[in-house]
Amino acid sequence: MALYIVKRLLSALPTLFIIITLSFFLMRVAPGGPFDLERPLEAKVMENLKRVYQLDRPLWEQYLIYLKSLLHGDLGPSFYWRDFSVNELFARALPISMRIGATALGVALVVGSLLGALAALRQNSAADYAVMTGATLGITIPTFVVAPVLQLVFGLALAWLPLGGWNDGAWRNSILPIATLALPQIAIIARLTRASMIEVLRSHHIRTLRSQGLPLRYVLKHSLRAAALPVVSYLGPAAAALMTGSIVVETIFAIPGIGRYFVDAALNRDYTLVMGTVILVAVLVVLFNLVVDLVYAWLDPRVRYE
Amino acid sequence: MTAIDGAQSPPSSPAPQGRSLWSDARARLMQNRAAVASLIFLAFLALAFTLGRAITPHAYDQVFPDYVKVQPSLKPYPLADQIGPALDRIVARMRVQAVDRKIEGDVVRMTFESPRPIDERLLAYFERSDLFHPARVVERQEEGRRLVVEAPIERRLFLFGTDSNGRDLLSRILLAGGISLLIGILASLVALIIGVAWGAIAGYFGGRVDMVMMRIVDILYSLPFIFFVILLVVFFGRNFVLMFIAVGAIEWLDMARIVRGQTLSIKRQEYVQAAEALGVDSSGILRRHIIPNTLGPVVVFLTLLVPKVILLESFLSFLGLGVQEPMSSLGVLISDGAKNIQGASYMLIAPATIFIAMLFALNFVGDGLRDALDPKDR
Amino acid sequence: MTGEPVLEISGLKVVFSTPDGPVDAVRGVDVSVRRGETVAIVGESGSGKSQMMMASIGLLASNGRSSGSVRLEGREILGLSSRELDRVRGRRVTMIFQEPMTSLDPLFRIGDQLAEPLMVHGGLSRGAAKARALELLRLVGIPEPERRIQSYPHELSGGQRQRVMIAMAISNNPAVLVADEPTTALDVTVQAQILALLADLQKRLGMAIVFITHDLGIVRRFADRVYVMRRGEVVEQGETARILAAPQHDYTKMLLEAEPTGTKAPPPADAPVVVSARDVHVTFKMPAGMFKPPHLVRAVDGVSVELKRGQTLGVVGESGSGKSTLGRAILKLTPAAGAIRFEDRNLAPLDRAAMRPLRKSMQLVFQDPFGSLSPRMTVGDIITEGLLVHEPQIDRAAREARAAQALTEVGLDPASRNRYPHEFSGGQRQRIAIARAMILEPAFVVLDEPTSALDRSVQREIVNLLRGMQERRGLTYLFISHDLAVVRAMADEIIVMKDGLAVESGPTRQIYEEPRQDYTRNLIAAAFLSRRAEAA
Repeated sequence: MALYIVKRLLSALPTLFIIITLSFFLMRVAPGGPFDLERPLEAKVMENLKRVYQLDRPLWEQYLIYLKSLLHGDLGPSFYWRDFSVNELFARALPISMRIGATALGVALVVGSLLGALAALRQNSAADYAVMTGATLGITIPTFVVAPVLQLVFGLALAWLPLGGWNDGAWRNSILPIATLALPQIAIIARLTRASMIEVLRSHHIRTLRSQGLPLRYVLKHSLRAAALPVVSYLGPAAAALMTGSIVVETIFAIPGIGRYFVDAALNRDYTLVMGTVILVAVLVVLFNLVVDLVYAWLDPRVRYE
Repeated sequence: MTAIDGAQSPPSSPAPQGRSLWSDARARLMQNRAAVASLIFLAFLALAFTLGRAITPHAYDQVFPDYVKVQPSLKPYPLADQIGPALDRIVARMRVQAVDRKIEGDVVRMTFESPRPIDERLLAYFERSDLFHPARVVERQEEGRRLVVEAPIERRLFLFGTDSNGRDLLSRILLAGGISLLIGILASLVALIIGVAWGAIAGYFGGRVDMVMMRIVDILYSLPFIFFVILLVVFFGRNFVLMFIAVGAIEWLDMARIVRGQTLSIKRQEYVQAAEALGVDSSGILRRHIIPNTLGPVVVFLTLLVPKVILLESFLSFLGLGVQEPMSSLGVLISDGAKNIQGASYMLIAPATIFIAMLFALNFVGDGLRDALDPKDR
Repeated sequence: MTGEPVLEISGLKVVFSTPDGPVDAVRGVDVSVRRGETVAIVGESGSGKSQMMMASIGLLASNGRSSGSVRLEGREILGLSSRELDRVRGRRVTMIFQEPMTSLDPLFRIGDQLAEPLMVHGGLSRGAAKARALELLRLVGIPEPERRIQSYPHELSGGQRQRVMIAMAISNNPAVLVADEPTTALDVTVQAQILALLADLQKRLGMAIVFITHDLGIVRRFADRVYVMRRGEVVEQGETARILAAPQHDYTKMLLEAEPTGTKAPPPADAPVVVSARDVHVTFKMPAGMFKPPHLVRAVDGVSVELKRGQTLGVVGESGSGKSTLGRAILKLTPAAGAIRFEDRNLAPLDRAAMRPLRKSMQLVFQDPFGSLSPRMTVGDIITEGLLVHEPQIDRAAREARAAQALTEVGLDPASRNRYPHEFSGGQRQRIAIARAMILEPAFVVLDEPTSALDRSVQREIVNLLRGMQERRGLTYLFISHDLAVVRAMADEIIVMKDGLAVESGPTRQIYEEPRQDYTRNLIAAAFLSRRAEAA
């Protein structure tokens, strides 16, 4: 088990290396630089800045310097928020993004699988159609439509919740972002659960339970666990989708998380911050996929590796 | 029964046609009311996006400064209460005094006075306004210090209202819808071509080829791709081609996996082994057995991919990284609308409704195709 | 044995609503089962025998409707709510199924699955239920029950899984056990063990068994009374001995005679050798699992065969014995080591491209008539695909003519060549597959279980068809089968395979009458080959 985890983590290293290299050179060959402001800086100031940030060295040297500092866990100084290092920015932004993302995922899992299971058990009933229509809507309506509508309804018309801002993580401020982020995931998970549950309910081992006269709660116990497998496999892509969604949500609700930093950083050519975000996201995806595989193996004895 | 008879004379009676799986699937699809309605709706949309723009009275990039953010209306503009203020503005610009004005049907009749003779070229202000046709001098009095002028009112229809620049929203939606659909289809085709080729080759040849090719897919999978797309678009500028290459490049991974899985399972089917036993070569097996049998899932995935791509494009547009003015996509319009949600909510409602209806229909068609092609309960 | 009726089915009808309209699966049947007896329901596929019993205990698919009356121990159970049914099922009546591989939940331990009905119906605590589960496993003869109770289904063989299913079914001492083809998916030796287990349990526990089967051999051994079903109706019923000895209904007679009969005349001693293979080895490299190192499996381990013109060599063995792999190795469809000769050519050095011209003379027919025909091609295209490769000069009309001729030869309507495989029955599909092989006029055909997926009556027709073609064309067959009755009717010589080795070989008569190896003896005993003699 421990060996397996170590092996998986080691096998992720080449991928990470490719990501780092690719994004490093992609950014540097692109036109524009971090100090190309609308009003050009004085040549002297520019030179100074470039020296401080080591942009005057040859590209390969910059690359090696960057790799070296990465090995020490240092993501370098931010080019835009010049008083901060990328590590410092992340130390503040990451917990915020994680909290919203994790809560949204949790909500989506619980609500989505409950709705999906309900629809599967009452297949072709009004409840089923309602859930499936809602799910299709949830998948098709983009996050950036849901967010302003929620703002309009709960923020302005009813004035129950604040329109945006983080306010040091007050729960009232996080309801709308979490809801926005969770809605499409609820929809997807509900559809997945319904489909797999319907298939499980038709399977031979459920027929066995019924032939043994086991009551509904046993049928549920067996079918939910089997139906959970595709949902668990979906969690990897779901985490990636949440990170994408966080870009929108954090922008609309003015939340100082990773997603918002990324867009700002990209627009401002903040090389190190962009790199840092890309690396961070890649690491998170790798870790999350590992966790998903472990959970899958825990649920399904057939893939256990002993 | 004898060999010679059969070989020499062609079969006498024409053999009846059987029901192929495709025609079975078509029949099942036609029984699916939601899918058929969606198909009709999509056909209507496609028609509207291509031909509709020719019918709408306004060009998609025509700006009406006098009609910024006007509400959708079945009645033609200008409304009665808009004419007065517009005339006031014109009079103010002409620096004359209006002593009398009458609105008779579609014509405004005004009398201007000024201490000095009035330059008739000033009447061009009527023409510049979006509300009136060119004005005409009916009567000239007091050596040109008093003019009686008639200006026909120009009626304009803004069924969907106008946007914050005063452009006809209907025309823009038709343009944007067309572009969104085009991006959706083109990017899906990019994904289709790369994905099918990659997956079929990996799956059919198997072994080391498969291992290397799928390892590449795995690595690409774990890249935070959306971030790369954003990087690409930010750093290399926003253009149409880059857009669907970027989007297509993300989505081919899924396609490759599906096709590979499908190919692997078909390769194990006995009919492929039978073809090998008959001595059919690789290209014949791919052409006659593998590709026709992978087609079903691929078609289904393709129909479900188009809405996904449209969503992705709209996401980029929302970040301001998508299609650029004066062109537009539904994502651009929706994000405009979201910014103007207070006061001009129709700017969100109209494009969002079309967008959602379109994606809904595409999803229904995809689901319908899946049920038709893969009938589990038969 | 003659007690009061414990299960009485009367006037039972089952209708399925399908997109093509309602389908009558069961059209009003009466079946009565007395306490402690064994009743066999016999019929071929589609006779409604399974659906009748499924309907009786409320297990129909959601599109099925049943009407009539089913009385269990005097109480009407048809139309009970599922809650009320749950108090009957598992307690008074239980069912085991044909698919031992999928009938247990793969995600839960055997012990937990066994304990559930005990806790629900027997009111046992978890601990007591576990202890009882252990006893049950011991009772059904699972080796090392203490260890197996912790196992997951995938760690058990098919036979063991069926034993676990039986343990679960008998756990609450039901009055009736319905067994739906419980041994069909198992090897013959395992089949015999499971049947013996059921007979033994019945003796000890005194339950009635309703045995649904297509296999008259099992009926003879096992059942007190028989119901013969056809197209949703009972056509004949009575004491087993009477039915088998003096069947009244034509359908029953047909079923009894459906077993392939006769033997094949051996080819002349001076017939030329068509195929010879010496010391064939096939080794598969199993890829490494997440934690398993890669390992080698010897599927065929040094087998030699020689086939003369007009000869049929039968290859028998249980699943996993390597018999199919041997067939493929001889056709060079699987990489193999060893000297393989066809007519006067050495095949060993030939690669795929070099083998291609020879494929015309060496053909293959598969077991699964559903999987071996490309679902999106017409029958005509399927049959003539080989002609595209081997006789590219002939045009479409000539190909059509050849297809029509080939279809006629295998007993199908030549007008059906534009139809698709899914429009045919299993037996018809197997004929199509035979036509595809024969249109090339091969000299040598490997028949890989060509009859195993078919009903007995259809099997017999296919056997006759194959024998007829062999006679007319002087074909050489390698006939692979686990079904010893069919092999006896087809083969001049037999090799018996086990774990990749040829354990015994010789003329058919010698193998059947004087088997030298225990393994062969077991196979033959398990296959109930004496049944015709018994009945006569």
